[in-house]
Amino acid sequence: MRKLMNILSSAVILTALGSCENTIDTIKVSGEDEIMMNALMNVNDDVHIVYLSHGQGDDFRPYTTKGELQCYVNGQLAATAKAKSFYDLYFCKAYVFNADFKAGDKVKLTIEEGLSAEVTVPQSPEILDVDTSYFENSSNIHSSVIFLRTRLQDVPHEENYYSFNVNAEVYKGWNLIDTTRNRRVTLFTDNEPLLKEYSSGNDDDKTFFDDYVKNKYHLFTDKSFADNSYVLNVGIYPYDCLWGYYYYKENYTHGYDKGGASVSVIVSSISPETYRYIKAIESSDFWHFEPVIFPQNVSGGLGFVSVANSAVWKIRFPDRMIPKDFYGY
Amino acid sequence: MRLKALHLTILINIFMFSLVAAGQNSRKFTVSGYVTDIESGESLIGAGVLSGGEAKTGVSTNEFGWYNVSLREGRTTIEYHYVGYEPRTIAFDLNKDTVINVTLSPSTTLSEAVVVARNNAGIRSTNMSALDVPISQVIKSPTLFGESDIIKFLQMLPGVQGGMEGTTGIHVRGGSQDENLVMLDGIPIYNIDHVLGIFSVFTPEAVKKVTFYKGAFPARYGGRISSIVDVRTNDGNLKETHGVVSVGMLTSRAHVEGPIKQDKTSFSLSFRGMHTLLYQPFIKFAMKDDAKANFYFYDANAKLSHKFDERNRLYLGIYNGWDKLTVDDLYDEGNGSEGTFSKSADKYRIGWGNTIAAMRLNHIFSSTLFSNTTVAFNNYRMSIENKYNTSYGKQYMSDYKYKYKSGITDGSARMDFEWTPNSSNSVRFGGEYTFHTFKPETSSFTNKAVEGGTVQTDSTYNELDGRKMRGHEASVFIEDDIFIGDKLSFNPGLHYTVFYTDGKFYNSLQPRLSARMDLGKGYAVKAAYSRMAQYVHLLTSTDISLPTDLWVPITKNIKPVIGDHYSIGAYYSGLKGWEFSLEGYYKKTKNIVEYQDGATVMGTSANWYDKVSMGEGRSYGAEIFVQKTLGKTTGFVSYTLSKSDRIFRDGMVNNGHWYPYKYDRRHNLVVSVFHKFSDRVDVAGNFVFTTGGTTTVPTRQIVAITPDGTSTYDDYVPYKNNYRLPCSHRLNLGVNLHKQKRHGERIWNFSIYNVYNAMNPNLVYSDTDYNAEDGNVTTNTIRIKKITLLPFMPSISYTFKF
Repeated sequence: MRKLMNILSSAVILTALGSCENTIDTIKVSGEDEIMMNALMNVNDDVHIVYLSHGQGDDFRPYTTKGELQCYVNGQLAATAKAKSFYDLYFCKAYVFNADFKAGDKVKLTIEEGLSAEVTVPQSPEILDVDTSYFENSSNIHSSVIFLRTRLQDVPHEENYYSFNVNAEVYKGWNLIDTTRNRRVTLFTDNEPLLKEYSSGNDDDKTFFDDYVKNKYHLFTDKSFADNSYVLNVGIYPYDCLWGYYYYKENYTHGYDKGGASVSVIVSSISPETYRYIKAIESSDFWHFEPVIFPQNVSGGLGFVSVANSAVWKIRFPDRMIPKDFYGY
Repeated sequence: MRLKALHLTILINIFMFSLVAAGQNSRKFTVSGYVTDIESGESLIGAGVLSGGEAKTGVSTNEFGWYNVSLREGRTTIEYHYVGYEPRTIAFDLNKDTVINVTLSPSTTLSEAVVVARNNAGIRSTNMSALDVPISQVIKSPTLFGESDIIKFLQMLPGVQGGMEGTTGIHVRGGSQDENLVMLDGIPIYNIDHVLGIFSVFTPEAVKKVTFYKGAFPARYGGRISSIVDVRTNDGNLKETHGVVSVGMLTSRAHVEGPIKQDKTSFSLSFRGMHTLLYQPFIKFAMKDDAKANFYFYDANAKLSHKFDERNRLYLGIYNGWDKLTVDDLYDEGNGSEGTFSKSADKYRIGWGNTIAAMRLNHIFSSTLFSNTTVAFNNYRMSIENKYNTSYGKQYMSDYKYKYKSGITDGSARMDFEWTPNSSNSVRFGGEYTFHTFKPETSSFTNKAVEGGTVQTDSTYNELDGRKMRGHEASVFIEDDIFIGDKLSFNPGLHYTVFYTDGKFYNSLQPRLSARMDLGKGYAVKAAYSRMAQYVHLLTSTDISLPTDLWVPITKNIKPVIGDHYSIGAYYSGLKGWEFSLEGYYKKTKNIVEYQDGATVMGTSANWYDKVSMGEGRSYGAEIFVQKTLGKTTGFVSYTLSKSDRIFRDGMVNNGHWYPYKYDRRHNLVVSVFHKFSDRVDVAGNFVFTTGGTTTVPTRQIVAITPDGTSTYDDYVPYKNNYRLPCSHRLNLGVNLHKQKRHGERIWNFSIYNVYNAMNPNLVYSDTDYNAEDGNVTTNTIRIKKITLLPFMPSISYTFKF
């Protein structure tokens, strides 16, 4: 009986192991070399940058338009962009222009090859005030937090999508010596349900079901406070983003200079498509059962163009002595 | 939701007219009672009760085997019928309300199908798109691993799609899996799956009857959009103790029932469990020496029935089912020398399952009024535990624990009444209240480390502390089976539900109407309309049933799902032993919920309402069903032509455009045959063919710019579910060898699932492959790949009935 059972069970196991992977279909996508136009602009930007690429398969290269890249605002030509290699990115040729946008404007980008994209500038929210407080962690100074309780007024009578960011800057005299503009500031969001991150401890502590998408671009909607004001309770780590300002070591051998710092709270209003686009960027960091759909709004080609409108609240910190030559200045 | 006043007025007028018209007749009396099996005392659900001489009219027994019929005073003949039983005729003089309890004897010959006009389901019922599922056919149908399964049998019926091949998911007329109300003795079950959907929770030996509705829902049902699966279990043999023991490839089952006090009190016990011992040596071989893994599931049903007197009966039932995965990884270096040995133990436990407890009381107020009162407790829970501890001699010890839990608990009370005021009306009415407690995820860590006798770390961290959500759901209903002569019947009804949760109050008025017209010579036509509302959702985005799939209630922003079904059908039963039906349907739903594009489904469900969108669905199709019910060869052919798609107008899914539903399979054909060679040998086979469902595959890659001002590239998908999979088909065969033994009957079953090894896809994914050509220009190829998990699968099982 045991022998029979062993034989039978072996047969079942072997048939199960015989299950395999096969290719159902093969799609060759080497056909067309498509042009892609991408731009994530902001009303408050000093310059607006549009990126052009082209490619097929996974072979992407910067693209130089045969003609001009033009920007129309409300049907009127507002600017013609110039290629600026300083702003080039991997795969992308940067085209830069200056133009003023305001809420409600219809902004259209076109290139001679027939690509175009038109978007409407959203209304920015209003930051009513920002209340700050400092919590010092004496056992670990680097975990000290400056809380920025930002009271925000929602844009009324419509569904709104927002992103939250902070820009920190350190000055020596009138000179800007450090800025977080080109990097993402780590925020303390545990007390803010709309932006709460779900990781715990380090990656080793994560279990299979932990949420790997941390909302790293700090997106939120107005579903819970539509048409009203809301207080976002977010913090920054001053020893991370204002390192030079907060570091004070006695008897610093190089001496001290008078310096200052500022923190800008930025709440940007974005379109629903931009919200989905940024969510797709985030989710591409981890595995899905199915591919993620990236919104595309460029006609005649591929790509995504958007304009955000931000409310900014700048907080200037009192001047103090900061280490001389700390940043090599 | 608005109901047109005209529709409501029409329903009320039909109801009132029928009551008045029927009341005009001369003196009548009511005959009522129970129809039971003479050998076991088990009540017979849906037994036919015919009267009226040549122009026979009929009623059927209800879910508890009780019937009543209003007849004229005088000499009366009543015939009692039930499939598989000898018919019985009783003649008597009717001059007062009379109680007749009838017992029927099992038949050794296959009798002619009986015309019963007033059944709850089937071709002769007023309700369309409803079917009584034959349990004997479920048990004999060849299936995966030889495990007969009610839900997998339903997948072979017209209008029903399975999910991933081999699993128990059902998608009825374009609906999703959570839109099916699956009930055990009237209590909804939230998770009907074992082993990620390979098996359902139902043990066929414990089941007495299954009624399946996929449209035209009677008003007594509510809470889901797409289908009702009403499973009724055995009450227990009131005469003798009998049982069944079955040993299969993966599970063993045992069922025993019998009297505690003859003709008064009976019990029914069933157990099914998975035996992993057979596979343990292979698992140990595949894993490390000190690693042990085990997976098992079980179902246990217990029922107690007691008859106080002819008017009062009590039923107590309990169900408990559980899946459990354990993984233990132990390490012990120990060499006996203190201070130089180390040990560690890493233990995982994942478990999920249902517990249901219910008490039912039947009370007969009079010959025309029957009531059933049900009080029930229903719980689904899921838990994950991980314990990891290490020690190094006696100097160092650390202990880490992780716990994760989620679930849902319901407490409910329900009263149903059946009132038969006259021979033309059979009214059902009642009400129900359910208190839901949704327990979203909670998880916590504890970490303790001791070194040199000193506690270094001792902390507890609550990662997730999901707020419990509570919902109050109350509903009332009324429906009437109205018979106008022998040719025309209606079933109008109203179901009204209120739901309170998250500070918001929802209500819905759901009209139902079915109509049947007998055209003579075996022909009939039916039409129906139903509105349904659903107040809970299942958060899932996978093809398989994961234990982390979460039931969540509607919120102040997530509204109830509303479904409107329209259906029409033509039927023919004039050929002895055959039934033909052709049905068409159109279904539209709103406020269906789906994860937004890009939303994580593997992480936590906190703030789940921000990750989903509400949209609309529409589905329509035609279904052909041909059954042969008599003779040595029986079976059916089922064909469905259907289309189903969805749209989420907020743009968060598929950019706001219509897209085909994942299980939009255009053609579906099933041929199921059962042949009895003799009392000792019978064979069964079924062939299933479906055209492919859909999946989402990228067609190229694109460059994207991130908000950080960097560039990246990723897959590009033009629209959701843009690729249609190839057809799937398989043939299953089985043979049963019966032999009568001294103390019972033994049955050997040999089955083959997927006889010709069709490599149908169980999982589909896309894989991009880059090939260099000419060294300069690269092209890329998207390969659509499938994984087949269920090839040719023979199985064997042994059953002994005593």
